Amino acid sequence: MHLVDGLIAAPAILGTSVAATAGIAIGLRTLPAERMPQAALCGSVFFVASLIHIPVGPSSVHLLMGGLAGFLLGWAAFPVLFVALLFQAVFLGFGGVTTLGVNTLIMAVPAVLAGLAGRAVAARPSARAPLVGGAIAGGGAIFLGTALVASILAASGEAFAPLAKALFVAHLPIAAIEAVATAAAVSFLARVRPDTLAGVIGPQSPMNEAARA
Amino acid sequence: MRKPRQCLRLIGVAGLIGLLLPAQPAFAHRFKCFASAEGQTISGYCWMAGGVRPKDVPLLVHGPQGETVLKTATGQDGTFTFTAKHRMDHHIIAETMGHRAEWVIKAAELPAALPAGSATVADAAAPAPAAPAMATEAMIEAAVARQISPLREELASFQDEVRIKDILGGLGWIVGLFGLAAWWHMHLRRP
Repeated sequence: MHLVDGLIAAPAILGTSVAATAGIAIGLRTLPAERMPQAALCGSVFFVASLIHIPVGPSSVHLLMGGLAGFLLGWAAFPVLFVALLFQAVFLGFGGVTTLGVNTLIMAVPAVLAGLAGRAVAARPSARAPLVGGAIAGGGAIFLGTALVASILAASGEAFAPLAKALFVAHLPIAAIEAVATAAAVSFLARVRPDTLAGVIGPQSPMNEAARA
Repeated sequence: MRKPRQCLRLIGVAGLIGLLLPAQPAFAHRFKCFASAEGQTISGYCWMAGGVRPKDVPLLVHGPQGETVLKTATGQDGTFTFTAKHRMDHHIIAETMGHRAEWVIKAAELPAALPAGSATVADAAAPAPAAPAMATEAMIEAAVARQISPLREELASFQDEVRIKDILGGLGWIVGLFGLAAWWHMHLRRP
């Protein structure tokens, strides 16, 4: 879902770049030094994830793992995904350079939204809560992402409904895989290193009790 | 003891991810297009990461001044073919689902017997009948084009490859940038 140069009209590029800059600024404020290793990890996972391709029918799609970044970092996913996208463009040639702002929006907005939703679910006092929360963050980020890509392309002239449907269907396997992967990662962290999730999920969740114990 | 088990789990997860990486063919996630000319016939295909060749991809062919020459699409096997009528640069542009690819067939790749100029120039007369010397030359050109075409394909896909040094370079920069940011936080933002 990395958009390349030349696809999007200039006004859309400008608008989305401004919005992405605002998001990055907000994200930088909420990124303390203690979260830098997590930020680097999420950025690296995102950087590498796009190399993993799943053939789907006539074409292929790739993993993103933006949901994990949104879950662990919240708004700080904006600068993290921007950095990862920048180096994907420079080193791997994914996406264009003028479309960095657009791509940041496409990846980060769904990540943050799905991550916040996942956090809310994971905060419940149930043993399975981190698993479900992670799944929502992972799968939700993909679904919201396809909707956002379809709207941006529609604003640049393509027909929205068939495009949205095609993107959605093509990304269903990815959404399933990411839901599983993010759920596994989150529940792994919840069991093994609950202190990393201490600031992420509410105080009444069992993970934070374990961290406090 | 919990710590060795945790370490083992981490190693296991990292190993799984590492296993996944080389399993994919090393293509960049881009949508690319390749075409070559054999005589007057221009044929080619579009491919995506993983080597998949999507079918029914809309193609637009235009000349050096931007005039539309032809609108076509890739077939069931992901390839396309058309005949060039003029000896000029043909820009082949394929667009699908947010991906865009372009390939240019230079005028020099097309046979000299074709009329020059762009598609907007009316075909005044049929091309002059080829002299015997030109016919031999055309055969040689066709033979050479046939031999070179697979090489050019390989070159195009080789340029596209994502190499391990690119991955390591990107990862290094990401970790380094966040390390710098952490240092900056700790030393410069504290009063």
